[in-house]
Amino acid sequence: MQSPIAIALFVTVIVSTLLITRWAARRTHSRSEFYVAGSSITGTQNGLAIAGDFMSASTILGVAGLAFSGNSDAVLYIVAPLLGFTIMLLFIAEPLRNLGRYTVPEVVALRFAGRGVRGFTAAAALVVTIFYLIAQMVGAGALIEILLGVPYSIAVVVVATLMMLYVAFGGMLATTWVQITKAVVLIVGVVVMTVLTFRHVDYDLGSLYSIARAQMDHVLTGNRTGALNSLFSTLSLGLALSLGVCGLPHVLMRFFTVPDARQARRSIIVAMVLIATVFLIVLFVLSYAAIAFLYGKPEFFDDAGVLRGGANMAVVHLSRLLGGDVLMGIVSAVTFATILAVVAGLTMASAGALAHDLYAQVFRRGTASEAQELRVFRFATLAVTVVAALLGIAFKGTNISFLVSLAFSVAASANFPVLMLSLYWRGLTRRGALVGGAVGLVSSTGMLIAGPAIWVDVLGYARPLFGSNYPTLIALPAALFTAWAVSMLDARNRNAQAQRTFDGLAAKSQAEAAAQGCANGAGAGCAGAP
Amino acid sequence: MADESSEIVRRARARLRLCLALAAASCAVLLFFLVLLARSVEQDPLGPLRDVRFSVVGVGINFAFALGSVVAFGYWRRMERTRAAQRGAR
Repeated sequence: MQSPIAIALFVTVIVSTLLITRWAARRTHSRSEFYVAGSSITGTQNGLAIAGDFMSASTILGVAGLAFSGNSDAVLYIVAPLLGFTIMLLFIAEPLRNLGRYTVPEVVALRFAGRGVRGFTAAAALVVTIFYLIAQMVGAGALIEILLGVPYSIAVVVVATLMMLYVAFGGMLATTWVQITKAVVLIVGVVVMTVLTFRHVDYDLGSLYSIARAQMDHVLTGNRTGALNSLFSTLSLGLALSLGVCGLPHVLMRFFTVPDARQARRSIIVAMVLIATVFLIVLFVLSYAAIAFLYGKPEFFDDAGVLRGGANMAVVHLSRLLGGDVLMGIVSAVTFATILAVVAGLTMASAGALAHDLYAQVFRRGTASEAQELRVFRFATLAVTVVAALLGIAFKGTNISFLVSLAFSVAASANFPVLMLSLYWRGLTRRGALVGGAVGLVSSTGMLIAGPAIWVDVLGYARPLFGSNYPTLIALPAALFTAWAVSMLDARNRNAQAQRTFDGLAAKSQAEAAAQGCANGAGAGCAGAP
Repeated sequence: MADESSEIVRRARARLRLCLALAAASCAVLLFFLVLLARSVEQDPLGPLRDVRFSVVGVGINFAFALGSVVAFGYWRRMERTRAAQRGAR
């Protein structure tokens, strides 16, 4: 399937993103510029970048792939994250912007001085971003292999090298503009495919669904291994996908790139509208179009009757059917740009956690110079790249949406409870945060490893130790309960000083709301407002 | 000064209460939808995909709640601003 158009468009994407990186590299010198683009991104730009960051390969390829293979989990993957963005808007975006400078662990560390909690939150952030990176690598490898005929492993290495270049040289500014560009071309691509799908059925959406239903009756038997097949897994995955959004370090880090809380709020609203639109189109138009039009066309299937490149490639094959090699080339390039943008954001978050939190604050206790930290940041980028590439090769063929759900499970069980309790619960102690977060991290990763997808499918054992692939319904309450119980028993640390620290941070996190009252002439007492 | 800081605390508490109410309502709607989804798959693994109306309505309600929360939150902020301006004028 090596089309000259696809190759040309892939090269165009690579050249354009490298030009963005070169432009950004000339404007990126200080630590603030590297980590958060000097907090100079506007709310609308950041909203586009968040949408670009969040709408990963799992959105475009994975969800349509799930629906195409008869797995109703696709509906769950579309609905649940929106709740997460609502919670992020209501509880997290503003305090994070008001309290933090570069990374999420930094915000938690404001409440609990010392290295323990900061080291833990940085490690948890790393685990989440690495899981997420694997999914993107698997998607990128499969896509490039099928479109350009490049072997899977080489494709993964190419993507890893590009992401390293963006982040190590262009920092957050390059990452942001790669994400904005990707979000725009993705939306345009999805709209073009929708219009062509409508044209294919003479603008009669009802007939599209009728054809799809007829295909389902004849071809699909329904997937009995998805999360929706048990109430426990349904609720667990729903919880992971909604609250996990609020624990994704690469998304949360974006709030530090805007100048104030108002712009942080605007970012979320813009991102929510864009993400909702694309999600709805991918599920209700493109997935059904793939089911309706691809089944029964032998050219898209191999001798064993499997879709060429696997179910993840359903949207790419659909584009070829609707618009020939030109549209397939465009859609493939858009998907490739999608993956590049997401891996850049993930690398930024993980290298930031390694360099800023683990190296500069935990190991060097804040004594590292800015130049040393930036040097370590570049080495960290290289290390993350190598690990992501190796794991991407090891996990070849795994469903992308499932891999993403692993990242969400850990984010919801380890990062989310520590962040929320640190921001809103006065009674939380350092020990409570540390033990609660550790329970969330260890229990979620432990149950994931002991679940069918890894214990049986990857490690080859006959029976899983834990019956579900979705541990959040156990791991998240366990983390919250442990944090509460340990904090309650840890009376020595719930002293007046700790309460004052919380009150001070709570006031600072609401700084904009207080300042707003002052700006509107609320009185002389505003001098005392934070 | 004491009045002012108690005003800030009041505003923060009211805001938190509103946020909790909005989040709880959104969570309840999602939870209800998830239970319906699981029930539907119990009867037919392709149920949610086969019956487009089910998914469209479920997804639509959840999106409406998410965006409704954004609108409600924005409206409350505007009311707070107006109230603060009126107090300032007095």
